[in-house]
Amino acid sequence: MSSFVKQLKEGILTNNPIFVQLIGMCPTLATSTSLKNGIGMGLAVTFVLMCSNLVISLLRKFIPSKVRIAAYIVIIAGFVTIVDLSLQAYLPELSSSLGMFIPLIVVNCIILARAEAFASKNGPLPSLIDGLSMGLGFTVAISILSTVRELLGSGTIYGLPVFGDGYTPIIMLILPAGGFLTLGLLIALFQHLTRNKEESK
Amino acid sequence: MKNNEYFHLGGVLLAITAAVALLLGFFNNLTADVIAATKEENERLSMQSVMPNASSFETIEPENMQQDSIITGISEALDENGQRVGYCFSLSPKGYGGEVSVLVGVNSDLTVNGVSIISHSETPGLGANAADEEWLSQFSGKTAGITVVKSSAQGNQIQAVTSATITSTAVTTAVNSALDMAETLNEEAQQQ
Repeated sequence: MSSFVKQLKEGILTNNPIFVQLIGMCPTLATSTSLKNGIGMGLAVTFVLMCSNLVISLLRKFIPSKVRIAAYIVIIAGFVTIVDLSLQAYLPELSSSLGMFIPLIVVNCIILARAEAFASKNGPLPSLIDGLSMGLGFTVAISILSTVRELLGSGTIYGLPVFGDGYTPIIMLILPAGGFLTLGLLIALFQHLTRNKEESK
Repeated sequence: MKNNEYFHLGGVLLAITAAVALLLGFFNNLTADVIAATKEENERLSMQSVMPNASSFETIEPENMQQDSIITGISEALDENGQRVGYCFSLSPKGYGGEVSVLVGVNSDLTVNGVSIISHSETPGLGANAADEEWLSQFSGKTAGITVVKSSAQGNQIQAVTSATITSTAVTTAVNSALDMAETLNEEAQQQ
């Protein structure tokens, strides 16, 4: 149990994929224009990460190391396609707003990185938990990022207006440049908060 | 020895890809019908939204369509008695971020009934606002030769979306092409 909490803490805080490891930046910047997209993307990545970690961990002794990357990519692409088809069928609206970025989860480096660094060396259960932790860390980070961008960039949260008519949205924040700025400031804030904690120890 | 290794590597990869392909085949089977049905339903709903007074739609293919036209599809809008009340055009003009897929409903008297944007890749927060119903409702009742202005639109003018003149012009071009085509179709129908 304690190792579960430790892994969860690692994924969300101390080794957060976005704020600390700085991987998976492309979908993070592209889909964080609204909270709805951010959460949708986060959950899709979490699902793929858990499934691929589990399967890769189960097959870790079966897959020869010479062809492991090819095998991982096929497994990951399989799960991504399942997510893509399910979204198209049952959540067509989310599917059309995430568009190209669902198929692009295949090349999201978080997933390959966890397969290579964790799932290929650990048992199925820890790997599944690792997928969940890293996925949640990604989801939390992209949700914070998209909340800030949506709130200031369009004056809404989850599509609901917050500020009323008097507020002029800072359009730049939902453009790509605003994504970089917001992400940079959030990483700085995150580093500041976690570093203070470490020093006080 | 070396050969054995190659067979082993290839065999493992083959086994994995075959298993994944099988799984995907199963999932595709499960979702293909739902996806097709959703797509068809969406198409019908969007046609209904630009032609609320029609009850059914019938795809037509005029002979004199230009190959390079931005019009990608035409449907006749029919009321419950099968009488033609207008046309529904799908068009793909070039916007700022690529093709904008526009649906235009034109009444038989050659006025715009409704305009809807099916898909686009315009800038979020700028050009993407052109997909808002409020902006698109400006087109209702307009006739051929609509022009775009940046402020205080009058008569047959459309006020552009703030900082998105290219997108606004693209949509307006589509609506004008639809109106011109509707006029041609009307004339042909009268000659027959």
